[in-house]
Amino acid sequence: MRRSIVRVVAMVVLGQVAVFSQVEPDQDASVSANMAVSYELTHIVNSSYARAGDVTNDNWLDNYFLQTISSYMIVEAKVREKLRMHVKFLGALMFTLPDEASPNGSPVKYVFGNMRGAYLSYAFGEAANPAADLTIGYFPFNYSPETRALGAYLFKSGTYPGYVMSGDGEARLAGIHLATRLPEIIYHDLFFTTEIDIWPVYDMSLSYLARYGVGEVLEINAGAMFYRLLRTYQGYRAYRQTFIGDVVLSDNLEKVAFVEDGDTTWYSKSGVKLMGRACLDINKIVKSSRLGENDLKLYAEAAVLGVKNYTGYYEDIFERIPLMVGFNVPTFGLLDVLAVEGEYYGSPYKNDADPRGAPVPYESHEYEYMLFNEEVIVDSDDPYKTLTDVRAGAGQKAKDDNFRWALWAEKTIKDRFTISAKVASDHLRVLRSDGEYDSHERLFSPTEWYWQLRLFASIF
Amino acid sequence: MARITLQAIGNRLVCAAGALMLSGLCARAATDVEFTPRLRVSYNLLQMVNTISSLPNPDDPASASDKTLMHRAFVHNVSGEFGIDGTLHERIRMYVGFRAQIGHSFLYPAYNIDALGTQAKRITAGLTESKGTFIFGDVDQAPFVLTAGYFDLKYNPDAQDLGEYLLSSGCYPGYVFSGGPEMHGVRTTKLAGLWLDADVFEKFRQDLVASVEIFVIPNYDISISYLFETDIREIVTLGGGVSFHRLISANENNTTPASAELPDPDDTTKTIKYTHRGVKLMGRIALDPKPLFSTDIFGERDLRLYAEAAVLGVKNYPIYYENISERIPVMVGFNLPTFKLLDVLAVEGEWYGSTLNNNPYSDVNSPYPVGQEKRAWGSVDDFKWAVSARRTLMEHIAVTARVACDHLRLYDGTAGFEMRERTIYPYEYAWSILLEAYF
Repeated sequence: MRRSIVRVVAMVVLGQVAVFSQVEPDQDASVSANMAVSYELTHIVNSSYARAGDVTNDNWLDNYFLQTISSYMIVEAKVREKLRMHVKFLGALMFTLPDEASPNGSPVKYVFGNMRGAYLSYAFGEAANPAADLTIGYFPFNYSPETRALGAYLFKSGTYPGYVMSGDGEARLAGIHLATRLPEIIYHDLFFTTEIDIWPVYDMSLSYLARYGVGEVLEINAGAMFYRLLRTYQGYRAYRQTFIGDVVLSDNLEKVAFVEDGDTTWYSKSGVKLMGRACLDINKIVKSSRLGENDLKLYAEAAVLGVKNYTGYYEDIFERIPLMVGFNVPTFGLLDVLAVEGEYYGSPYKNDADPRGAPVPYESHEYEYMLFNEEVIVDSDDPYKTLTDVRAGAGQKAKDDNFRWALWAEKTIKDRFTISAKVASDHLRVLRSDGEYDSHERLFSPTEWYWQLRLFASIF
Repeated sequence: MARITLQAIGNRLVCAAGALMLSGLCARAATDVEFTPRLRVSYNLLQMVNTISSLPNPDDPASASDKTLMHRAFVHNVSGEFGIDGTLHERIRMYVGFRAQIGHSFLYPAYNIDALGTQAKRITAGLTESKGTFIFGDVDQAPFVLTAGYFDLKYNPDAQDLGEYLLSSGCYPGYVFSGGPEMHGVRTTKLAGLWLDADVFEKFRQDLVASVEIFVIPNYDISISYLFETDIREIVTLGGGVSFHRLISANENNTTPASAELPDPDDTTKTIKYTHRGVKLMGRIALDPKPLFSTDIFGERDLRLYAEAAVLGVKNYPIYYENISERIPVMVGFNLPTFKLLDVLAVEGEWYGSTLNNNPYSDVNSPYPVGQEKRAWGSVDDFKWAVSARRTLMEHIAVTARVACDHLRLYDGTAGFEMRERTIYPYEYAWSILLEAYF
């Protein structure tokens, strides 16, 4: 009976949503709303991620299940066809990893509300074919729609240390985006964004992206990002305060500077990222009606996460170049997408965004030590020991984690229901209690993997 | 195989009928009911300059190895709001607004002086307003309008940043706020309760408010307030009001805590019972000389001179509240003429001679009607100032810029603001730009 009442209430609510899903309260304005729900089930099959505070416990994530039930509400307003406002809300119930410091090993339930977009866009010139488009706020941007798990490096990465994120190609940016096409076949995108996710926050970055042949047989993208070009005073002070103190030198000197033969090299979190990408749509050459729209796409992307070398931690530029290749296997309409992706990223360091905002790697793979309160723990009977030089403690894992792979399948039914499945050894990160991704990735070799099933339904 | 019982079938039929009935009612109601969606996105950029006085541990200023914790610190906030404005009947309206905000908290980790650049991203969501409105009397004249719920109330339309003392300030201690929902937004007050707006007499408006305290603990005390406003030939506006603050306690032990009972220094056989309860008074005036000029070159808000003063507790108490003049904030503002280039360019100043910290809570983060004596800065924080400019574009976009040494309080990582103000000395200030798009 209770479930029936819930159904009735849901029907009434949806009915009311339908009432205002298309409304024109002003003569020159319109508002549209959409709602969607999704269910995601993740099964971590094999992971050697060691539990915090107990590095010998490196199989606690094996056969671990995670679940997330999400609802989305998207509201868009258009004023005179040139001004658009967009807000996207997200509410979710999830079962995610427990606090690693607690003895609890079971998934923990969290409920959170989040915002996935709040921005306004203005079209210069004719609304139907604008000369330029200006977007301000918190907005999604995806230059790599083919990406399913690996790639999209320009915005989903950091420098010094260089980390990369996995997931689809959509990045969420805060700031300003100016887009234009000149000539018609080349897209130009200019971004001035502020860092709101990774410490230290509020540093400003300037980015430029050129895209040739979007939607054509051959698409080529090239981009540059002056990451953290403008450093906020608080950002600059963040790691200097922690590691340097009031004077230039401190006990933690090796964390922010490399001293050799009397020479001191100071690291900086700012850097220049470069990106190159190509996508060949063989389907458009073959032009077979049997093939699905996404079949036979071959795409590749590479990036440089910091062009400048630094003595000590960042001496080899090739250790800062992630490369990925992807291919959409033809399914002849059975599936919308069946993608296979692979990545090589030869960084010897953990692929984590440093929680302190420092410009040096946070901790090594093979040797770990507790950094909370800067205490060092040594136990001769314990398999781990302290390490001050993260590079020396890279170990075998630093090589094993260079290769990543992912397999993705997706099918949309009746334009509203989408089922997707993924099997991958990528840069898996789990959600925190606030709905944002934890900085630690959980997989460290091609034999560590998970599978994920996602059901998505939009109401309108 | 599950058994299908008659009861189960009956339940489903009843529920289906109910759904059809409700849908039908909604469909019929839809012809009488209007729903208007509202949408707003905003981006707020703020930087603090010279803000060195607001230390993480003001009880021990020497403990702060670096007193420039907040100097030149930036704060970015982006928010999205969605609301439904419903007209259910010619007399009944409702509005529900929902807002999500991305910001960062300087308090996380709590008062960690080394964590300035490492403040955690906080995404919060909550209501902006949730209210119902009923019109009594002639619908077009609306002589009486009753609002119930959670709503914004702005009785001083001129106040951009400072002022609006009557409803948002406290008693014992008498704390004041500035700004609005955004850190440097337009001055307004959020209330929960009932609000009767009476516009019966020409050019004499009255408001009766019964509000429930939901922001500053002790929560749920009820205050009763009366305000009035009168207009003289559109040149002079006079307003005033009285608020019986925390007249009705949810828990008298919290409103008048036993821990705030101190010996009377003049008579040791007696004690002083400090309480948060008190009577506040407010008076304001606005002068607009534009009707005297036969010209339309001025903007609607140009040349307005306005002032407001309040008494935050009429009764004196020994020791901490002996001098009523120390409980009287006064503000003055003037809208510089911009000749329609801007909607408003307001310069405001405030003097508030309190000898106590302008924080609702003591440093142990508990409400305490006993005053918290100021630190080394003494009376230098008595004077505040603000310069605000606003421009509306295309009817749906507004840009507000502000430079101010006001009662700035930062986003605390939840859906509200911290209780400690951040700009103390007159040379400590923050500038901000607020970009809003609304529909």
